[in-house]
Amino acid sequence: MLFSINTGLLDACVLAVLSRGDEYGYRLTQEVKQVMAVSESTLYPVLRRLQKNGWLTTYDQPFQGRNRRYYRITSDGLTQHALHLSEWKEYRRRIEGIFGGETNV
Amino acid sequence: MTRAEFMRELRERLARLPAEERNAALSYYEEYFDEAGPDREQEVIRELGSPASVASRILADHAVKEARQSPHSPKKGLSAIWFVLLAVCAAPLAFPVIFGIVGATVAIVGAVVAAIVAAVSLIVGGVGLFAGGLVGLFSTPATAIVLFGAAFLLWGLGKIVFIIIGAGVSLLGLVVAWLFSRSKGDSHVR
Repeated sequence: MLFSINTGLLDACVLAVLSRGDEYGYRLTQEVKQVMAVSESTLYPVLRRLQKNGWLTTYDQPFQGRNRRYYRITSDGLTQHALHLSEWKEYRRRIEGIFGGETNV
Repeated sequence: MTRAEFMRELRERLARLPAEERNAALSYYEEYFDEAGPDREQEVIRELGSPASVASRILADHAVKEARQSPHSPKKGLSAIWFVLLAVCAAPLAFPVIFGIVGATVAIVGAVVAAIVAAVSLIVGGVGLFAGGLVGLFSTPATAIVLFGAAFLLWGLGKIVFIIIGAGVSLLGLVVAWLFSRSKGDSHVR
C-alpha cells in the first residue's frame, strides 16, 4: 500500500478488534491482516505494549491439550479506543478536506 | 529452516531479556505455530522473517520501555543502550553501519570508564591526604589542617564527577532509545 501504517494506527486497530470481543493471537493476527499489510511478527510487540499500558489483559484457555492465550480489552483500553475513534474522525475530516479541494478545513 | 530451528535461534537471540519477557515472547510464537498447524509451518516461517528480525523488534521494544519506565537512573540508561545495541546487532544491517555504531559505543564506554577512574583517583588521593593530615596532626597542626581541607576538596570533586557521569549515561540512554523508537516508527509495515 502507498500509505504507511505507523505504530499508533496499529495499536488502534488491535484495540478496535478486541473491543468487539476477546481473541487469541493467531485469530487476531488474521483479522488485522485482512485490512492492512502487517507481517505476522509485528503483532507480538504491539500486544505486549498494549498489555503493559494496561489496555488489555490475558487469560489462558485449554484447547486440544495446550493453552490458547486470549486477549481481553480493559476499561482503560475502551477509554483509549474511544479516544482513537474521535481522533480518527478529526484526522479523516482534514485529509478528506484536502483531497476534496477544500483549503479551509 | 524448521520450526524447532527457528524457535531455538529466537531463544538464543532473546537470551539477554528478563526470563519473564523472554518466556512470554517464546510461548506466543509457539502458540502461533500450533494454531497455524504443521501444514503451514514453512509459510509461517517465511512470513515471520528471520529469527533475527523478530528478536530485533522485541529487543527494541524492550529498550524503549526500559528507558521510559525509569528515565533518571544511570543503570536503566546503560541497560537501554545495551538492548538497543543488541537489537542493532540482531537486525540485518549493513556492516559499515554496525561498525560505526560499535565504534561510537566503544568510544562512549571508554570515556565513561576514564571519567570513573578519574573520580576514583580523586577520592583515593583525598584519603591519602587525610591520612597524611592525621599523622601530622599534633606535630604540625597547621599543615594537617591544610591537608584536611585539600582532602575534602578532592572528595567533593570526585563526587561531582560521579554525578556528572550518572547524569550523562542516563541522558545518553534516553536519547539512544528515543532515536531508535523514532527510526522504527514505520518499519512495522511489511
